[in-house]
Amino acid sequence: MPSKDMPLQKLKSYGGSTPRPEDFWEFWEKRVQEVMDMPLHYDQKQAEIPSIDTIGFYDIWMEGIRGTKIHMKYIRPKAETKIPMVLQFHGYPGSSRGWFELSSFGAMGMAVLAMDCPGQGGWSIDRGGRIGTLASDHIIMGLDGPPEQMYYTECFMHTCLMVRLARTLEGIDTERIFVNGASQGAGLGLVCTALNQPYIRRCAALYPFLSDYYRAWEMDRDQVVYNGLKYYTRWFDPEGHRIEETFRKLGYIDTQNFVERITCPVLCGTGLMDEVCPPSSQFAVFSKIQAPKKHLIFPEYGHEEIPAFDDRLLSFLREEDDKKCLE
Amino acid sequence: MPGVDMPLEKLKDYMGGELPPKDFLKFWKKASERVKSHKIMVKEKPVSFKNDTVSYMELEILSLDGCQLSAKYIYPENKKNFPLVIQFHDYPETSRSWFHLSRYASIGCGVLAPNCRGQGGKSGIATEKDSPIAYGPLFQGLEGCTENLYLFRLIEDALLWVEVAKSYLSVENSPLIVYGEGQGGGLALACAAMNPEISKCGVHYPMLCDYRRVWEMDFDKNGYEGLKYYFKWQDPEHKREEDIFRKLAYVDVKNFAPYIQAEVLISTGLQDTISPPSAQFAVVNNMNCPRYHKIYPKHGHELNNFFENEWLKFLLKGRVEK
Repeated sequence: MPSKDMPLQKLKSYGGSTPRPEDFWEFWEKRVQEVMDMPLHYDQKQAEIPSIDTIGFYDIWMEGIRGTKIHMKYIRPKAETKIPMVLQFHGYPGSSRGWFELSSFGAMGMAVLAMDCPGQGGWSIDRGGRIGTLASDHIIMGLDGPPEQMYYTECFMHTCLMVRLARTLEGIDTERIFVNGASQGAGLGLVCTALNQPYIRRCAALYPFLSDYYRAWEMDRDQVVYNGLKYYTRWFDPEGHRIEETFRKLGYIDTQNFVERITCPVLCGTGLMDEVCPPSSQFAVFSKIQAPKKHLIFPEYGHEEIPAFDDRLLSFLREEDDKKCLE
Repeated sequence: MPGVDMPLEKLKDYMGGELPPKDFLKFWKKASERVKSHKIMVKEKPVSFKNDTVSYMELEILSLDGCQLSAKYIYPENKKNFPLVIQFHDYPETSRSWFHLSRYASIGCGVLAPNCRGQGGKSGIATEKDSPIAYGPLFQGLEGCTENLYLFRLIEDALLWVEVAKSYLSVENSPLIVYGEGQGGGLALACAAMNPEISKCGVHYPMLCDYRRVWEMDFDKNGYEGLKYYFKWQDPEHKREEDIFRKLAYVDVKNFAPYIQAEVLISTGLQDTISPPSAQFAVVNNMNCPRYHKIYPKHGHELNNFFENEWLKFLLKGRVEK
């Protein structure tokens, strides 16, 4: 059986190795409250793609935290009745996928709202100003400052703002808001689902990034997307005196610490040949989900498009029964 | 300007490394006639994804030489007449996922996505061919007659799917469109050349073109490696080189290019290390039809959101909001 990590049997019982801050939920309840107290300002415009009789294409610009400007693609099939909404999150460090790719949700009778993470490959504008290095990845941006100003703390808060927006947009069935994403998008999606638990009805997460940072570091998988962890140690803590403190702080933005609050069905996927996000770091997340879940394992696949997973979305999001959707 | 091939200015004038056979068009007209007179029996297998507005099914047909061929077919249920896109896949893959292909239904189009024989999808293996198959099917049959080349059958199968679309999938008077990536781009172009009723053709980094150039540039690896191994093992001194490339000229997509009448949107990433940019330019430079060639200096043979956006705009051109 092909694999790039511990054997499958061990993966199934692996529970993560990154410390979790004691005040984790207290910290996050405050952050969510801050988002709820923010004014919701946004502007919707016709996109570069023309809207037609069956479907509309729009750009939305939303004011985010500390002056961040959030760009989202918004695609909405024309319908007489209220329609479900998919919140779509992209991989690191790219941008929301192309308009056509996102249109597949339109064929499923669903609107889609796809955020560009600020300061990555899309149009959203990050204001910076965090304490710490800028010369490496976003996971360590702000690591030397207060945890509430870490890049991903704010990014997670923006997913909450997006849920507020989705609930405001006209013609959306607010009882059927779904979340989908792969890699960084799966991490953001799971966090979004946990922090907005009353509002999210389905969450699909393929090979999540942003989890179990210590495991990635310890395995020397602090490369590619986790590269920042290696640089942080090499540049600021070469003898490793502050390892415990560093990873405890990263615990505030560790997906595995959020998922216990998820209540809706979750479709999870892992390719065992994943060299980008170690399978163990993914299992640490999925094992902590207490909601109904299905974990699809693809032994021959790595961190790449997995058509069989994508096809599962068609039924998972369309089936209204919470049990049947995972069958 | 970055690139893995000749400078852009030269690419823009490059016409290809091997002249087209004099009887190329005659050869393919004959082949086309055989395809058109082939009796098609379509088997339908519905696939359910709990969607009332969109139908999903697998189609099966028999090729001219008796191979079982399959395709995915998705169409909007609420429309009688819809533009139909035939989308061909890259080598040696399978038709894209149902989810991926669903995008067409969202803009009111049907999509037929054939699986190429003997590759990653559910289309039967090729019948017996002369020459080894150790490095994939693409260059099977180099020692037999032209009609027995795997590449000939691949194009013939593609033409047959166009017939299925025309005669079976009820798209009378609705636009017929072809699209493909890599190998699929080559097949889309061949279909457009032989079927003037095809109105639009989208091609992302075409393959199956200018085999001599591929060989000369040592690009005979990845998809094209069968060519290297054929010579290495069967003809190490290249005594049959002229014959082989002459035969391959019949299945060279650049030779179909002058006959295309459709409006073409085509892309090339200058970092393409699978299908050499020059070979792709040879296709474009041989065209006489209206075409838009998008050039991406830092993209290779890969997914390109920007080109997909262009393709969507190209499909929607002329359609307005109601």
